[in-house]
Amino acid sequence: MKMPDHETATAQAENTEADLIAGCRAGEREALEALIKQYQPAVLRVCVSILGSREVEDLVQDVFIKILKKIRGFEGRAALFTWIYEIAVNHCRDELRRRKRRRWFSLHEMPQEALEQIPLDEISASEQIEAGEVRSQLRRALNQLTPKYRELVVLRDLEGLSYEEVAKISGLEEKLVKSRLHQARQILAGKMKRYLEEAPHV
Amino acid sequence: MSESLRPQEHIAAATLWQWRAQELGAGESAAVQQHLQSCAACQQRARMLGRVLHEMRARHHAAQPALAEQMHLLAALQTEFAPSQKSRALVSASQSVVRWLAPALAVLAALFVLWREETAASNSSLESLLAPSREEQVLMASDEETARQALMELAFSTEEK
Repeated sequence: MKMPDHETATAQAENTEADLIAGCRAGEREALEALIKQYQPAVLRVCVSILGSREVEDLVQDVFIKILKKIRGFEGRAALFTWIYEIAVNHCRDELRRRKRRRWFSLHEMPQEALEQIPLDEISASEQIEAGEVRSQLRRALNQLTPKYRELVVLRDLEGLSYEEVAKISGLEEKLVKSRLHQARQILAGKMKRYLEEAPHV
Repeated sequence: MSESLRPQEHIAAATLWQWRAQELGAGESAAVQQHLQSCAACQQRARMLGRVLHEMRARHHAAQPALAEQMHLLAALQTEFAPSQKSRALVSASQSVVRWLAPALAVLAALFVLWREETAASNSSLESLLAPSREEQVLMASDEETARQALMELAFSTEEK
């Protein structure tokens, strides 16, 4: 009996994913290359947007090391990409906690993300123009969100994942994801108020 | 999730966001669209929200790993996880040993069986050569009874021949 096209495609994708997992478990170069090619961009994007900094190369590497250490125990209960997102998000949470502790111990230091958390009103109009207008404002607005809100905006609004997937990754009930995301969007829209209520400046 | 919409009120930003993300139910979506048709301010806000979301996604997706980052990551993972050269050499050596060992053992087993059969055959022929003939048994008999029995057997065998 011939399988329908979409079922054939799903079966092929599952085979490819199974091959990829088996190859990674064996430490095969081709499998590692494929894993990096397929998932490094998403892991990098999530880390950059959650941590608010492009300096995440070491962090991305740590995420992949975690993935490969854990892949032996991957049972396929969730899709591989959801599982990888989950590891990346958890790693970002750990990193944010580490940074918070470090900041507490070195108060004289003011890292980039702290600079980005200065309220928008405290930055002069000319500085805002110099800083890169809407995108720059957005970066600040996103970084001003607390991590619990930020990761939901990143997964749902920026990565375009479904509510079900976001719930799995963040370990929250789908209902709670919806309600938190609604609050996050309200906060974000509030911070972007002048751009949402005035004619475009750029 | 979205607040109920009264005609005289502007739409909340988060509801406009849900509408843009196509997360509203059919009824709520129709209500937003109806409001937008009659409210220029909300139309402008919806347009701007669309632009802000587009900018957000563009900024997010602009973060791409450089080729050097990919290569660096691959090298790091290979160092950490790929089997080392020494263990790879060990694995390939053991594989070739296994490849040759099985047929070699089979040949050795076959040779051993043949040798065993050969040895058994030669032992039986040697035993038959070393066994005393009936005449010798008569001559070698230690007592009279044995000699008589040997003579009888010799006589019978001579008759049979």
